[in-house]
Amino acid sequence: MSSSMTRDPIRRRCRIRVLALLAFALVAWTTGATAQTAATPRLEEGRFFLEKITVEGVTTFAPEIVVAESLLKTGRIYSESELRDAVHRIKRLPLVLDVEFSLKKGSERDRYELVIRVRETRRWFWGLDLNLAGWSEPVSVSGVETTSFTESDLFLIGRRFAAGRHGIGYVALGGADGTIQVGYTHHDLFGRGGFGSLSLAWADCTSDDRGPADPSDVGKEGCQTELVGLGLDPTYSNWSATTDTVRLRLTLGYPLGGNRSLRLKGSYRATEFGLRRLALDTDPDRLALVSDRYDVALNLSWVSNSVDDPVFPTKGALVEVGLDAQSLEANVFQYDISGDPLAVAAASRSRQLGVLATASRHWPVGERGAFSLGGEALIGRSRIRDLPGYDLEPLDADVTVWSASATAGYGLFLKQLRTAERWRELRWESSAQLFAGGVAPSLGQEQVPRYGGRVTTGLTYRNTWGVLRFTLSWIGLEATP
Amino acid sequence: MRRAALVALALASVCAAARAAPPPGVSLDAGQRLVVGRLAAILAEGAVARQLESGLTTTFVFRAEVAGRVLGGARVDVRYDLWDEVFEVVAVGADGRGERVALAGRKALETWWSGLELVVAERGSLTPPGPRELVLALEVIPFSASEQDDAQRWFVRSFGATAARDGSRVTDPAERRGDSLEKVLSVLMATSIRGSALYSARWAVAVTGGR
Repeated sequence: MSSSMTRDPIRRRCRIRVLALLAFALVAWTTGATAQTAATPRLEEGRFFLEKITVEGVTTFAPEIVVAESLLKTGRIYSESELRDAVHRIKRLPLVLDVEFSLKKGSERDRYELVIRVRETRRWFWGLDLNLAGWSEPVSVSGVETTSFTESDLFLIGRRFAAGRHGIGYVALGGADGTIQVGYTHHDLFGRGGFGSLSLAWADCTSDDRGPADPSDVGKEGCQTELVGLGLDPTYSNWSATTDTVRLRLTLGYPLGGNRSLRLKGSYRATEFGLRRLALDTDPDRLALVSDRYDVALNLSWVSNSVDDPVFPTKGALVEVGLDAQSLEANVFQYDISGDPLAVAAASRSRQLGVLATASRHWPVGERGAFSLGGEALIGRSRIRDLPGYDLEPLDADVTVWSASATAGYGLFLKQLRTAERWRELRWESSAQLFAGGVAPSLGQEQVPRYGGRVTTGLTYRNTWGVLRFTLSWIGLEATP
Repeated sequence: MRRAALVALALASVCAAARAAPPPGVSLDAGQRLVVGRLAAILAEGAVARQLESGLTTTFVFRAEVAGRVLGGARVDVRYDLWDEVFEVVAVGADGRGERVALAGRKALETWWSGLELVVAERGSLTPPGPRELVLALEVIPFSASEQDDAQRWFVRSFGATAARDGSRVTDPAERRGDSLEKVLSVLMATSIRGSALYSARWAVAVTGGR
């Protein structure tokens, strides 16, 4: 009794200090706190009335796209910080490597023409993302074998083309979404600075020519392998495709002023046949053939983005908060390795609705470095019906699903050549991430890690053609029985 | 052996960066403050010259370092008024003292720049028989003045609030700054301003005077 009485004030003081520290950190976060003395003279922030906006250096797309993305309008006064934000918005366009603003005299005193000088990327573009990962536990990516070492590589090559005064289209081969992708982005949607982007991808994941519905597909490698969230499949399973798969993506963005916008993202994918494999289980009996799989995802978010560069961020913050809805429907046929059926769950379906928040902030460190902190949190409700569980019995449950992660990263430019003739950048990037997740009430599924961590280091190279990334990762998962 | 190689590599990189422009002079003045002068003619460098003529703010940030430790810094903000055809300039040293001038044209700016002397570290930052060499870093950054505004307001507010709570007399801001705090501020100022530099250079310089 007496000990708790003596501890309580200490705890309270401790709590107050922690809260004060958190409040201080919050203020520092929101203001980008640094210091300078009160008596220090300074140059007042410039404010400029823009009567004309001119774009230079654009050859592969219409200059109207740059003006639309800047969200600047003629006939209005802008401060330098608003112009700086516009620079960052334009730099986040995938077509733009760099941008410079300058002013010219306008038609009369205190009126200005804003000249936006753009350094654009090439019409042809490519990307390569190669990751080698070591795991603390043997994992199964899609086939029967488990491994403590996985390799993933994504290669993409494509070409952009102008489509009218506000449109940009592209055709690409490879990438995460499929063998062939076509897409179109329309800027200045409804004349209000918004944008809409639509893409269609087709992937050929056919594993062999015996016919995709054959149970002998069980154990074969699939493509588009991905770990489905615990709200849709609480068994911690990899899902992949073994036949053609088609994916449609739609993104709509509407500016709310400054760096803030409202964004709607939707995705629909149809896969005729595929595989489902418990990621951490070595028992091949828990490998399933999947047919008629449909994934739908919708996300409506409020977004604040002041990040200076989409590939190599060095300053600024990105915050996204919104509603996130996902569904997964499929017929799941459970086979053992010899192809004998064990269980069939026709028309299994999972639906999840939650609130998803992500945030990241970047700080320059030294002349060539940048430090980043980020996090993501999801909480929602999930309804799971007729999905085979770990013990092959169909799961039928309504659960609360949650997940959270925190990431700290550091990037250091090893090479930065930015001239009118050449543009090459090489950055060494490292990050450490902690993550956790689960469902409540527990569904008693085994081999589902509750938390883990990931350490990644690697090199990223960017030039006017594209981005090449090579990373090494180590992923540690909580060991489960 | 490895350490020696690292030191050689660091020196080589410093020297390589410094090849871009001749090093400025750094000296200890009578008050034992580090003063930088004889600034290199970098105003004509391509990207710097373009930004200076842009009508938008260009900020020059100086940092004095010894063995990676920042002693202090100084900054110069320059903006060309397209209509009045003058460069509005504010230079602020590590001692918090500043100079505000309006210079008519590029020539006047270059003359002023070449004669500029800035306190980059306060008294006691580099006292004999301490090291007589340091690294002077310069970064030229667009737009940074506006980025600093929020930070400046935040700090002034926070510091003012603390002083008021303590019941101290708050009349002249200079009165509420102790020497140690001033030093901290100058270091913070020197280390907090960062951006995508249009131009950067590092010089290994010998400190003169102060014996």
